[in-house]
Amino acid sequence: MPTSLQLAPELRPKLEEVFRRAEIPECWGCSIEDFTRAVERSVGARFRDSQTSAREISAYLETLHLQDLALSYCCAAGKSGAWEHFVARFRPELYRAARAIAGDSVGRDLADSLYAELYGLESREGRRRSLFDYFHGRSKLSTWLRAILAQRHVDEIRRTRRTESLDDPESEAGDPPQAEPAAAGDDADPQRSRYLVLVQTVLAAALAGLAARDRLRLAYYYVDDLTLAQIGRLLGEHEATVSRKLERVRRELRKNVDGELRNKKRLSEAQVQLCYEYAQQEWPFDLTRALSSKGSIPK
Amino acid sequence: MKPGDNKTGFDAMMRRGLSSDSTQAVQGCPDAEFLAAYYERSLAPSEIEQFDAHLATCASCRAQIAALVRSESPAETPLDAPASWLWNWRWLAPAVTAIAIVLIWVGIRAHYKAIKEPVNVAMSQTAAPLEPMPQAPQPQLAPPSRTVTGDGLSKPAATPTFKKKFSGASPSGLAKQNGEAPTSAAGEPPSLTGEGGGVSSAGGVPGGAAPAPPPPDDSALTATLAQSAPADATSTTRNATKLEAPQSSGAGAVTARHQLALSAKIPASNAPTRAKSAEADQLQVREESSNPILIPSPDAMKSWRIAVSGAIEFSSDSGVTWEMQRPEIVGAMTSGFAPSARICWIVGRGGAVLRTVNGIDWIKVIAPTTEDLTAVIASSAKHAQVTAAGGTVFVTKDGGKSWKQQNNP
Repeated sequence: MPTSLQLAPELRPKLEEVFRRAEIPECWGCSIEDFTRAVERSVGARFRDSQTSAREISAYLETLHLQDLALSYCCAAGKSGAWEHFVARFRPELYRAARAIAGDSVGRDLADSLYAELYGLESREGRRRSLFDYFHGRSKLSTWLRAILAQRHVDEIRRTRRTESLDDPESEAGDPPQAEPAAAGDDADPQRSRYLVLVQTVLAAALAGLAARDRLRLAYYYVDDLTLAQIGRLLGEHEATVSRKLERVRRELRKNVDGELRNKKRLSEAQVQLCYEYAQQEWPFDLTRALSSKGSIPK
Repeated sequence: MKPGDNKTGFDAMMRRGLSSDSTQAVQGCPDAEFLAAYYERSLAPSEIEQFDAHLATCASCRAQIAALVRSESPAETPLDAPASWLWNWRWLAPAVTAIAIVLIWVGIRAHYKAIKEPVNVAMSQTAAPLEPMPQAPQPQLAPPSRTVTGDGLSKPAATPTFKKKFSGASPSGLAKQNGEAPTSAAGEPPSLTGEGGGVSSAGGVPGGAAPAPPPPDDSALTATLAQSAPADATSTTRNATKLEAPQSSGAGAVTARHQLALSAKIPASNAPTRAKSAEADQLQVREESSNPILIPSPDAMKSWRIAVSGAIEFSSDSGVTWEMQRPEIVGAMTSGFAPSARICWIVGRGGAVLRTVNGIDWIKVIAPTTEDLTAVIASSAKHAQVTAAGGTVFVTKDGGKSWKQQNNP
């Protein structure tokens, strides 16, 4: 259960002010006492320190989505008016978002299970415990619901992959055909495995040397397949800026990898080209397997 | 892929490199609220910077953010990204076109409805200059028991406990209130798109959109009622007929159409006085008699309703047309809940519980009590809970074969 931080008496006027400003509909049945408890829970989750100054808490209150916070508290408390509003306002959006995240069939189940948890599960003491208890008003309620859906969906995918990986007899046998660089054919270049390991090692080092934001931009684009506009919204940049920075980082990365292969690994231009060519043909290959089979990272 | 096309190959390698080692950093992942606040860019700059660094190396959190981005509704622009005028203007023409199409569609639909209910339209046109009618009422989707009797409404309607396996639950009889939200949501209209509440109130409740009824104690009206009712009955459409209450129910059975017909025949000099003196009566009559109870399903196109007569009706076109499924009156039904497009539970007075599992056939379920039931919620054909007027909550996990009483927490 989330902890609460009792507000100092000097914060009472501030609390009353934000309560008025929140314009909470009467039909939700949210009294000032309910509102206070909701805010204290939020403050407790944010600061966890009873020594936090009143000024800091006061500033924090200004950032909260107070009406959503009150709604979640009232829903968790089982107030019917609040529930009615939540169902009318948020349920359709919840199901739409779940379908957008997980597809039509899985999305429905995803939303159903979340909806049940929002309504509340029985705890050991017989008190109903709702997922709403974990909403503290730091974001919009609608965004929070979608974030939970996203978390559940990603967790499920990762869990499924782990399960499939464990259940897959081929992976137990340990010889996936594309994962063995050396098994590329009878006419394989004896240097092929070495080149593959080299290029990926150098690339990994170059990626690790990027600034966090540059790397994040690349990952959003190349791994998560977000559009330039979506990345721009996440990073607070215009999509043209995202495009320009992506191209710059990519160019620098390529230059670094090329330079590393030529200068540090002493490969010729032809060998560098061969590295990329093999990487394309063998893609994707497992660096870990290659490393273990060779014993060490090639110099 | 051509050999030597290193750009494509390099990009593929980069993708692999970014996704492979980033799965290592899974420590210290934030909760959903932090993710949501990050997405809205409402965190402190230092928090954003810190989390950007985490995201750069945590594939799991990044995938969650990506899913969050993909789940945003087309109209949503939650983030404060800068945008150029040129970029925005590119969308102006299609946006205007889309709005025009919607307006035309709404116009056509209104015209269609006007044709469908000629009596209503004719009467309202006649009534307008004669009487300053009260404002057109909001579509009333709430069951009569909620607004009239008040039983079980002042306290939490349903505070049951559910096990984890219980999915898709919702509070008692709440989904049916979707169309009512604007009046209680501080100006925030409910989203009627998507599942759960996608029934347009205008289409779903034709009777609810009628003007308020005149006072039943007006002798002139009473006399006119006797004359106008038969004529009205012969000229109403099939849909409108379904909404009519039994004639034997007195003032409460005066339909909106009848009332409208009456108002059209009242002398103009009587109108203001009548409108003022009968306001409370009008409200009560409207709430008691002229509002079907809407039960939306998660499928926006499909919904049920309990007609004023007590019949159960089903719509598969967002409430535009209604098909009667169970014409016989089984008692005053008060609430319903549809956890899916084929499953629906309905409860009513005297412990009446009905259920359909195929969206068509209704069966009477053995009730847990003979008390009036005011609310029902369900997650499936087997799992449901009903709330009695006294606040007692009963839960079934086997489709009503057995019930267990629960205490409110």
